[in-house]
Amino acid sequence: MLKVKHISKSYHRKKALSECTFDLEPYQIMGIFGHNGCGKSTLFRIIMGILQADEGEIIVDHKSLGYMPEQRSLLIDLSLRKQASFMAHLKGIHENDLENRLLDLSTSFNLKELIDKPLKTLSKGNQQKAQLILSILHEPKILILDEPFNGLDYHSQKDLSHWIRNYAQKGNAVLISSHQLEHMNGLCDEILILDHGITMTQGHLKTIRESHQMYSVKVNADSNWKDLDQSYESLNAIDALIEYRFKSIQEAKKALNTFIKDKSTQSLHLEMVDLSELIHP
Amino acid sequence: MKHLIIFSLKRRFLNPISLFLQVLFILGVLILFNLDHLSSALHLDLTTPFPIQVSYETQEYLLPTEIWEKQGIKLTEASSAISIDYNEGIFEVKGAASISIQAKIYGLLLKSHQQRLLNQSHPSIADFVMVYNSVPVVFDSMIDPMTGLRENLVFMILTSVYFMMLNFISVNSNEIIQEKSSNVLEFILTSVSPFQHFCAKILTGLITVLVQIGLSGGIFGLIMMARLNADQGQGLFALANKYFALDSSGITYETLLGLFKFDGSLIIKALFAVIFLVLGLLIIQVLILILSARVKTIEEAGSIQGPFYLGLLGLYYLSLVLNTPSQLIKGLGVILSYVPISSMLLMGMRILSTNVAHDELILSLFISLFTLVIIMWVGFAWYRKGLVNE
Repeated sequence: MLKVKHISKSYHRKKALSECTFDLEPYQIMGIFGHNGCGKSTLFRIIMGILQADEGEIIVDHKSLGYMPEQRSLLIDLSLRKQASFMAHLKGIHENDLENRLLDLSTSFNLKELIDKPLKTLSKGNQQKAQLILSILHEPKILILDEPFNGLDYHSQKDLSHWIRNYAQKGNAVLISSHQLEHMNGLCDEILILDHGITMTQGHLKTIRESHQMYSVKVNADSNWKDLDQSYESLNAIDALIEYRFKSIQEAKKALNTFIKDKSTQSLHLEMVDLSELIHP
Repeated sequence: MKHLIIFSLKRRFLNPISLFLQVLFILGVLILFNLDHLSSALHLDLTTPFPIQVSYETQEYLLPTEIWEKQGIKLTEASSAISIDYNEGIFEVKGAASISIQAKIYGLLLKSHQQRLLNQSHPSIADFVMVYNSVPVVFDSMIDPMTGLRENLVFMILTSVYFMMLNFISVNSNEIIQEKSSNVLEFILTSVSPFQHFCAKILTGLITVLVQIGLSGGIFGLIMMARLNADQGQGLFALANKYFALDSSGITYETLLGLFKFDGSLIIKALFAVIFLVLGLLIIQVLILILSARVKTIEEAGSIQGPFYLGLLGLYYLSLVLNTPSQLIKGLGVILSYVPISSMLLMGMRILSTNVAHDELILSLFISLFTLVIIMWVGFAWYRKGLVNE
């Protein structure tokens, strides 16, 4: 459906994307995860043909693509109906089809009452929904959503996740980006993690979590025992609070037992490190 | 691309401000063509005759003072800025008379001369015809009033179109900046290619100008025709007599057109002048489009159009200086009529005021076209990168 092969892109000699490769199939929801500036939007813009890659190849039928940019891309003085009409003409959608689709979509996203109001009068969340409607008017087989959860409240985020799952279940593919891993959790079949344009890892979220699993032990103690035990590598040390990380729970528990024996230990805390923290320490 | 053009045109013309301005324009033209009615309704003293000093002896060679007064000129023996003397068969007009006053004086002196000839006996018809249509007049400035008037009118029309087009160039530029700053461009570029976007903007700019010229010209022409058909615009011409170079005695719509000499050759010349104007403005439009696409902030946007306006204003003033036939057949006037951008005014002026050889015309046309194609070709790569802030 969509094949991204060894895509690289630089801006003024600064590498924005390096050798990015993946395939997207029908029914699949793929997440592109990475912090701001990691190359997610560049990747999407290259797929959409807005930017040209320096190297690599994109194999896709461009007519099957739908794209919702990260930033608001609306003519805010127009109503949703008028802007949809403009976009529909550009996409070659017939006027009658447009009316039906607009009605269905605005009902699905609870915007039916606001369809003729200028977009500037809508809340940020509703503007985001309007933008999503505009990007799926032509019923794309591949939907690319750049940070779609930005600006949405908790309930709207849940509704959107639900809608994305339904959309994929109809045989479409969704490519979605976020800088917050929790948005990907339970939604994406596969994720690709980008860091400064480089693909760090790719696969099922559960597998990635397992392979990148790490445990944190935070200890608050007055003694100098930390200097005595060189086998543990401390990550943070702020006054008496020190954080250690371990690849297995067994190692973490062993360290915990050592710290408990020290009389100067005031507090101990064991937790699993969030995946996003591991990628961007 | 078609829908992008239609959408842009709708947003440009069918917005409240544009419609309001169109209404204002219609009102303005209505007022212009009914200025006489308005002046009498408002009791404005616009019909005070213009004083010209004429000696008692000279008055014998002129039409009765009542006829001069009907044309807005009062003959007086008192001192005045302009005087007419008759010496040895030649009328001498002295003083700083404007071209409109000169034209009026010339028309009345010609009639005085013709009236006098009709009252005299002539040895032969041939001699009579030879002298009937010309009156020996010497003006201080030595300008043939009718020629000067015609040149000025043509120049006025040409520069009106020029400024109208300049205005719409900035509209295009602002639209791109707005599309970029609102990020709508991201959406648009998912449906049309950057090249289609580039071409759509150029075509939209051109269509906008043509529509605006058509609208303004149509409104102006319709209201003018309505007034002329109603009463031949007599009151208006009488009012214009005082201030403009229109000898309105018995003037009709046909004679008015005759003044402009709108014959076939002038129309073809005017068409060529418009082609040069359009080519020049297309070049400027493409340059501004490329620069506008590179704009990243609103602050930058403000600095783009300023230098262009100053440059084009400079070109306008230069063309004002060079707007005489003698300066348009040699030197700077000729050189600039070959240079793209400046040729849009100067070649037009040369075509309308002087005789331009066909090969000169073709060469200048080729240079402008070639420049346009090169700028579009090279500029598109910059435009594309600018659009997506690459």
